[in-house]
Amino acid sequence: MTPEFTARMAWRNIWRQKRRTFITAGTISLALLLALFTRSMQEGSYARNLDNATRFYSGYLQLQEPGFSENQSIDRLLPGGKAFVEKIHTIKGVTTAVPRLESFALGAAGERSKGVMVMGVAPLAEDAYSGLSKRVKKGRYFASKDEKAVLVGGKLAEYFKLSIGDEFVLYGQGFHGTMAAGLYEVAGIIHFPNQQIDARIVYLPLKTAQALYHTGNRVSAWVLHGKDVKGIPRLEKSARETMGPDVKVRNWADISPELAQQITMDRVSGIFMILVLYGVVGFGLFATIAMMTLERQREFAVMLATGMARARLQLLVVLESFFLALTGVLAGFSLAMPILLWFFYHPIRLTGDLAASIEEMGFEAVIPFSLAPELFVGQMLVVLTLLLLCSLYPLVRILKLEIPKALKGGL
Amino acid sequence: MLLKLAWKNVWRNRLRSGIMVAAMVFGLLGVILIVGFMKGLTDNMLENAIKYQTAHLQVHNPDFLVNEELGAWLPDADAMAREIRAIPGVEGVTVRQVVDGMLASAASTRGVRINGIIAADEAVVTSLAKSLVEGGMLPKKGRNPILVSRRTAGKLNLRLKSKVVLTFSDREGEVTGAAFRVCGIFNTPSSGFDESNVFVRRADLMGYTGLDQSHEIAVRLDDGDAVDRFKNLVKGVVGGRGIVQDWGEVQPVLAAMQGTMDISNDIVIGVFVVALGFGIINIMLMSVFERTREFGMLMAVGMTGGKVLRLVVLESIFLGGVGSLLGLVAGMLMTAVTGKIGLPLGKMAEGLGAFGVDAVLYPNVTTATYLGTLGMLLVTSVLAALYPARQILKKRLSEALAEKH
Repeated sequence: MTPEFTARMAWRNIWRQKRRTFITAGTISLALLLALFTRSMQEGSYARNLDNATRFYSGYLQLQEPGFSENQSIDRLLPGGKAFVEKIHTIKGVTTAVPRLESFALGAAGERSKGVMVMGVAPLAEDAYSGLSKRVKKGRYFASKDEKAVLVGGKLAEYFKLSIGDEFVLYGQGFHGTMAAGLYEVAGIIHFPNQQIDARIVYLPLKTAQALYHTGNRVSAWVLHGKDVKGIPRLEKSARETMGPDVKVRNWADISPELAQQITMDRVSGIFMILVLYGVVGFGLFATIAMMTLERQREFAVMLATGMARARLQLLVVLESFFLALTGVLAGFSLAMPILLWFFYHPIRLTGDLAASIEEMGFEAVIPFSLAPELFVGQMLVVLTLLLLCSLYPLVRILKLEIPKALKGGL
Repeated sequence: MLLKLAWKNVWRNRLRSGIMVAAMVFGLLGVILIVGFMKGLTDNMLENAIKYQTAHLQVHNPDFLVNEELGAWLPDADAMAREIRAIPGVEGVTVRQVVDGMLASAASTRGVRINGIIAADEAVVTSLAKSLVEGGMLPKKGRNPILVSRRTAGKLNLRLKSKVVLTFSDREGEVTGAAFRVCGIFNTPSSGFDESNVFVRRADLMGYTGLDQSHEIAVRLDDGDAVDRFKNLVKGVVGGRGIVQDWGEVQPVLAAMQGTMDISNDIVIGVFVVALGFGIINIMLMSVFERTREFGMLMAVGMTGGKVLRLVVLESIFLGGVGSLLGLVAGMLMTAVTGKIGLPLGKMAEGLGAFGVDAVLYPNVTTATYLGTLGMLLVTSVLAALYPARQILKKRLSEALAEKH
């Protein structure tokens, strides 16, 4: 008996009981559809949120002075000069490097004051990197490298009742204990989905911020970006080797541990739910395969008695299970693909309370989908594992089959 | 008679029925774990928000809600607080002066909300005192004590007795500031709250702002479920002088999250009920079709179609019922055990800290969820029997009897 023949026989065997095959394959495809939908949605959101969220704050990596991460002290800075920039660009895999000077100050306008987060950025480079100018809802973006102008977050502007052209004062602690104070014009009002940031952020041109804090040409961080999220570990390694021990390399997960852990938490709970679902489906598959074995004891005995090798018979039942699972997987994929493709090109945009609560967490209220091949491969592997586990039963059954007894059996 | 027959039929193929029951126990354990975890998580989040931040009710000047500014104070706050405290069922009332400002140490600076509190009152309303990890509550005597969070202390390099400078605008709009000394370090489950709040004595703060009024009244009730009733009572006291809000209005996002969680839990349960339903259909199909001849015989000797239908449905209900009951009982046991000892969240706790969740979580499943799931599974069992039963009843008697299988 050729392998092709065995395969054909297996294929025909599973269609001897059409309804059962349909239902079993149907449950597999349904589980697959749900699993793909959930996972595609999750991974899509993570990738998008990571790329988005990191651009505005952590970057893929940040280079900092080793003492800065402890307390963001304005005294712990890195050089901002040409020589340093050139060194950064020798790191393998770096696509972008933007300088930032981050600190705190007391903002004041009219009779009010409030602690704010000050971010000095290089206007052109920053806009090219994070698209900051697109966040400007009112007024304009920075027009020059060193103008005495600020962009303030929407909630912060509301608090201070600021409009374009108003004066805004920043007081704080400068480099090495100096007094930092400056008067600025509100050039624009920007909007951040993360309300905590929106209520605290003030952007200045880097040169203006350096003048405010008397830091000279120094920055608090160089923010690095690479080609994609997957390449971060390699980028990090290369950055460490290139920059040496005087520069601390921190990745996004280190800078924003909450974001990293929320992603882990969400991913783990999604995967857990899917595995339990697959478990339920696996029991169904097992029931079908067990019945396919038990009700054909006599048939098996006849085949063995007429000279079929046990190994061949085992191959036959494994192929049957395989075809059964394959039918389910193919049906699942063909159901899922159009849906995933549609959502990939038309991501769901949320509205209402849910959207508000998602924005509150600092994410966009959009649910993008991922079509990463790992997702599909992962689901196939799960189904394959189920199949292997379920196939053990018929394999053992056939191995232990006593031909005379089974021949006499009623079934 | 029919009942007995159905019950016995279910156990004719022990392996198959056993697999189905195992599938249900497994699936239900998983579902209950997920649902219990999610419910535990949101409950914990709400409980902590009420315990450490919002209390049950808050009263503010309506202008303060639009913009938290010094000038939007609440008239007669102390007098109102005394009246509210006299309402039976009110556990505690605290009055705060609130101002936004900046906290600076030698190492760094941070923007914070400065809460001027009366320590004795605050202790009855929020769990701030219990969340102290070092030092103690604001003392009655001594110059300018301040409570900062562990997160802030870490960032600003602060220890007990460290000196910090608070800067803010006073009543006239002039920037003013004063040195305070750290007398205690607190750590609540919410990282966001911790990063942005410090506590000082109200009298000290009043001295520097030049304003002898307060902005916020927070009320804790004996019974957290009676919020609506007390809201009206407090409204009666406050009248037109301020706006009374319950915790859900103070933190609408949390309230919305609770609603979202309920829906997503229902979806999870629905998905599993459907998956288990398919399993039951599969099993019932097999069990009915291998007995085609038997059913033909039963009908030939006078069993009506209706009775055959009832027999199949009963078998399905028994199968689904046994699986559901075992699964739910196992789930209850699991919830009882994990609800007692708690699930340590380990490394994930920090990320959840952004939502104000404790490091150990206690899963919680309501009786309504158990009963609802049981009900849905029983209904699904009945539905799952209809298709196989219909297939068998469609067969002609002669064909059914001729079936060899």
